[in-house]
Amino acid sequence: MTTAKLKPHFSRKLLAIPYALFLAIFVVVPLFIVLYYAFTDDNNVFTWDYLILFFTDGGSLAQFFSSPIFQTISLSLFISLMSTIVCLLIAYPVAYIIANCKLKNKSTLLLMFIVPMWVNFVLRINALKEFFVWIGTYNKSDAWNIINTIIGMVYDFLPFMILPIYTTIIKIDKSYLEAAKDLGATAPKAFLKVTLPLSKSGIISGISMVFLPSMTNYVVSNYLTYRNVKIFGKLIDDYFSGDLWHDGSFVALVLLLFMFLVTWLTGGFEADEQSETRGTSLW
Amino acid sequence: MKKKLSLALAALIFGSAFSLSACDGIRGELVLRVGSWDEYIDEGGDESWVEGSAPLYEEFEEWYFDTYNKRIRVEYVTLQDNETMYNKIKMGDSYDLLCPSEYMIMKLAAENRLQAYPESFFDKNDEHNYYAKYVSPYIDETFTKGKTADGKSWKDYAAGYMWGSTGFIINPSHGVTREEAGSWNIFQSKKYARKITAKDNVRDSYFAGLGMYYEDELLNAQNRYQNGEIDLTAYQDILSDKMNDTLPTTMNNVKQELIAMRKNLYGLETDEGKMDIITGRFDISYQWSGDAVYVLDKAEEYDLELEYVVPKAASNLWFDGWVMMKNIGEAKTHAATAFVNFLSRPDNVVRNMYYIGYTSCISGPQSGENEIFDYILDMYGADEGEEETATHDVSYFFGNDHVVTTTPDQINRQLFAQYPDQKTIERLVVMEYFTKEENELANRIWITIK
Repeated sequence: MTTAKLKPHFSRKLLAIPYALFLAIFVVVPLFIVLYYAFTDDNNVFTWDYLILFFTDGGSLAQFFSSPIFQTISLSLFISLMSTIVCLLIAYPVAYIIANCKLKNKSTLLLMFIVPMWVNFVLRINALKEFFVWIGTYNKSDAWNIINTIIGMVYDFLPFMILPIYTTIIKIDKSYLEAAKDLGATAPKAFLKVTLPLSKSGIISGISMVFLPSMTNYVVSNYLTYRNVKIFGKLIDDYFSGDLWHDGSFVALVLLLFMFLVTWLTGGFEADEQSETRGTSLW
Repeated sequence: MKKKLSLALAALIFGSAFSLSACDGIRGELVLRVGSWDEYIDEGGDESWVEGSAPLYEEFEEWYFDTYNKRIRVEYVTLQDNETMYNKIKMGDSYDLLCPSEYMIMKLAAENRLQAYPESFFDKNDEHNYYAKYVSPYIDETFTKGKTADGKSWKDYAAGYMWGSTGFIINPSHGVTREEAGSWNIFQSKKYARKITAKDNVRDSYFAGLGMYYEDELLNAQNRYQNGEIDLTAYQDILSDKMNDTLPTTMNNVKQELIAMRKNLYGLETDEGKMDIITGRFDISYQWSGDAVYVLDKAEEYDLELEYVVPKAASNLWFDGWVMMKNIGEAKTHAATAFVNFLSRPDNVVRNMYYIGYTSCISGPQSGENEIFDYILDMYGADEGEEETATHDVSYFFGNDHVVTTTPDQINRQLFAQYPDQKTIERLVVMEYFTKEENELANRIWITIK
């Protein structure tokens, strides 16, 4: 009798074990391996060498700001930032319109933005490359390479921005807007004072879904620029394929710090106050 | 290329499935584990010289039984590149016979991982010793002269498989001349800004950087050699010293050359450049000779005549060779040497050359009937009644009086890419392996530039 009572409770906890194991083996352990490699040399002795090498480019600290590594990182940040802004500018109106349209089946509309994701992304990026070739901007100049990369990133990550924003907007209680109207707010003012603040969590989740991957998704930059634009992720890949594991690990650690910083700045570590928006941070 | 890629993938999946099952094969069955590159042996089928045939490594099993009355099963594994091969060996993956490139052969020999070929392998009286009998005198000489770290020759450890040079594929219809592409500094020429590609690979790029940095000195040495002031050995020693210079100061100078080169490039490539030069995205591409043959062949399908140029000052002589790993035992040593001999049999050499498109290290008999030379005549010889013909002397490779009468364009095209003339051969240099420290330094430089 007692076992029958305990059973559902017990099995629920059990279900979390595979996930915990997965986290431990594929997230925590590799993290420590990266940390270990970043601060040891070939003889497994602790060293600051790779940190110094990273920040001085073999010379002095002043050289860091003119070093190719710094250039790569700042270019990568610029591309990520631009991709995120463009994504947000496109995604918010789209999500807003879909969420507020009078159609019965809104999900069909939404689907139109999701369906491209079903096509393999390497294939889509390749198609985009051929399009750039056709209109003549492919690898035309350094500036075009950067623009093309941003377009590629936006193309690739747009759904990740639309979805969380859409989910938050659709969940906003309409009575808030009605209340705002009753109290004399104009439509734009109601939007600014009600809809926008209430969809903040969706925006933040969208930003981290676009900003962080576009620092590392070097398939896009490789394909669209004939390897002429180098982003953060490619730098790490270069070190590892050049058999420079310690250098690579240190750079990976720097990227990790960036990720933490962005997550912290966007409030990703704060406990979710609204339980209804839980689904949005899933993205 | 798409087809090749999917074939490669299929081979990979198949190969890994195979290697799993191989562990517990039939008890007592001898398995020879061979590691090589993708598309680097005649794999039979419709694209083979002998249409519908089985892969050569399968035919070997039959031949081995017929000849020696012993059973062997070949497990043929394809690897991505030399570095992958090296890492696999280091991680404990065991192979019996491998086909690394020259620098990796030297590295493996220096680390005492290779087993020398037995004396019986070089006995020309044994009718099945096709390698000893038919290896090209040019390759044989190169392999005898080249020394490993332990003072032995390359010949002791490696049997040549494929060889070639590096150089530029150029598109003359876009105005690129052979004269211009004869200089390494075309990489920095403003005239060809965004019209030239280099290889995305540290060794090839470093070599190109040395070529740019030392070009004047190398040409100067060449002049002295041509004026008779120094002999061929002294000249080639200078070339080898300069093109293997890894002193930190030199590395720094090469870095400056590579930075200037990088700014001028259309881009770096590993494979995609082969098709892109045909579609006209750029006019000059730095390539290995074997790939150049493929590109030139392919371009003909689009009615485009591309050419291959080897830089005047110096260029790279590369080769891949079969090496046996240490402690594989007598039975496998016998099978491994037999495998090398089987691949060196002239009819199989022709099959491989046709299938792979690279140039074999085997020349066939130096006098009398020669199937391999006939194949070259068949491919590139001028047709009877051709108005204009040219002669291309390949005696250094095939032995005395082997001259190909061909159409004039072939002097600059596939025939030249497969068998450069004597004068070009003299300025080819083997690039040695980087030590661990050199490798780290070179990679750090290259990563920040590329």
